[in-house]
Amino acid sequence: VSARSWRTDAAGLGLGVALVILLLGVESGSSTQTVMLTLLIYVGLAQSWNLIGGFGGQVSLGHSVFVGVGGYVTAMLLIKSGLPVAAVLPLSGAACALVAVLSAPLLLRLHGVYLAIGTLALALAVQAWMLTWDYTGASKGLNIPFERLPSPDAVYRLALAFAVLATLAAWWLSRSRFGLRLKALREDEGAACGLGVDATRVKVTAYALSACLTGLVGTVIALNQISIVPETQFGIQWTIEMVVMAMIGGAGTIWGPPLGAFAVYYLIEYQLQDDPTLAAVLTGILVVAVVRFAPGGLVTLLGRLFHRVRNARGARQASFSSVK
Amino acid sequence: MSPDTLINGALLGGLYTIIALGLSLAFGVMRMVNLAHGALVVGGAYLSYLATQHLGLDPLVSLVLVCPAMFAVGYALQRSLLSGLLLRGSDAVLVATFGLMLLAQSVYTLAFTGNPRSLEASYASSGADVLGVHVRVVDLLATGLAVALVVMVELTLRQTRFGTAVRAAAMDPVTSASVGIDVRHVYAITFGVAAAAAGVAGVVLGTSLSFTPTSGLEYLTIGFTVVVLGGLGSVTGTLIAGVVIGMTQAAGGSAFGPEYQNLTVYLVFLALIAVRPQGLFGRVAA
Repeated sequence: VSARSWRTDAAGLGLGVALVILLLGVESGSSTQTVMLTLLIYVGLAQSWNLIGGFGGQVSLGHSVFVGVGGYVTAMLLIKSGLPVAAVLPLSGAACALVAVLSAPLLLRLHGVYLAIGTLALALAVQAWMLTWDYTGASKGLNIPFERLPSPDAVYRLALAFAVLATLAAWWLSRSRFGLRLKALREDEGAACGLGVDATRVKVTAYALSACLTGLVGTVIALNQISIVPETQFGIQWTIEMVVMAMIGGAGTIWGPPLGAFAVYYLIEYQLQDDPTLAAVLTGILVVAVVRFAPGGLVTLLGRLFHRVRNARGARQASFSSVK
Repeated sequence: MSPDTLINGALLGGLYTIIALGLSLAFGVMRMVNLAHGALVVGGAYLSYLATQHLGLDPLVSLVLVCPAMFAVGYALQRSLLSGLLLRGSDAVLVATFGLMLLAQSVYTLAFTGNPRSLEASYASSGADVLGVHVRVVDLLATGLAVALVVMVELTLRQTRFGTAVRAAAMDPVTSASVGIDVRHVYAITFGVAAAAAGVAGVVLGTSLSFTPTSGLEYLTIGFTVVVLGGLGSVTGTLIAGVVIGMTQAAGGSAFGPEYQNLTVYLVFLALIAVRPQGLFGRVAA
């Protein structure tokens, strides 16, 4: 580990801890808490998608399945069993990882475009299925019993915890050997396999991790909604938000997805909540502009600006000292 | 299941073929996957809606305005945005067209609200008897249009000088450029034609069914199923696959209930990519 990445890690850790303390301090029951809860849900989703879509380069358009499965498993367990929430959550996450592992033989051998369309078709198929499956209430969905719900404060802290967990997972991928293998597969799968990377194992592991975290955020969404229906809980809209936020912020980076979630949700959607259509227009323009002019996302753009300012100052100081 | 169901399903395949044609062209020639294709289809439908409302045109007559307009949009998009992104690999195009899809959806909502619309025509709801089977006239028209478009594209690709240039650019853009083919122009024309075909699909869609700003996603998926079944880049395969998918959807709907129609298509798609990702008919053209 080089000196520079130590310094970046320390700065990132400091920023992260400061943000968490700030977010923990939000007054309970306030409107700020509601806004921050939504923001944290989006950070968690975008970051979870980033693990396989950004670091792994496997553009999945089917992650709404995991939001749905996480939420539905939680709701079903809270309705049908006496298990406490603390036991229900890990089970929901595990169910999503299981779905990922089971669908991996079909999906992960696909590349690029096929993967995107294949995952999209799976998501649409699962949603169509859930709309008709009587066991889970078909199109009428499920209502989580009031007495089984955790407090709004607890839901908020869960959202914060999962956003942090997903970001830690992103940090692990950007620093670990496993992450290096995953990124190598993204850059050149043939060459990576030639160097001994077990493509299937690495991709399935990252996919399951991403699915599990997406599902955990899905449980927070369900606990916050209380009554859930396939139309929204399994909605493609979740996938769209994840991909858009991760891409705008910078896919394959640690701070890109949180920054993207902040930009898209807080700066655009929340500020323009009276005019959601205009917000959607601006978001669409932003996506196209970022892909066209700043392929690394906003975080890369900011990083480049920062370095340019610092280099300019360094150059000025250097010229000063040479004059002296 | 009655033969009526299957025949009507097969005729629905006309619409699916036209939707898939543009996708197939863009993929066959440029290896490009256009996630905004469904949005282009809906865009064509809205353009025709404007023409029918304000100029009093028949939807089919409005094609003389819709097609050139869609061609211009496609050509401009390819020249200004997509050509440059193609050089960076398929993921950049994937994300850019995804963004375009979102942008188009929200612009449609802004301009036309989210309410379902449809195009009015005398033949939209009238029926006809063909060999004792009751079918919708509009489905017959769609199938006729689909066959005509497929034949036209296939003939252009195989018999004309420009078609040869397109096939050369599809096979090897670098070598084609070195023998004097303007590859960027060929690409932009191809995308323009794909967008114009999407416009035709939009007019047919609007006349036979209704559409909303977000309808595009559903038809994108059906279009892709057709393209994959027909073999990526194969124009004639698209026609056969469109008919097969239309029949499958109708059969699924009649066997399990209407809410399972689309589920049947998605499952066919997933089964297909599991078994034969290159499609049933391989690569025929382009």
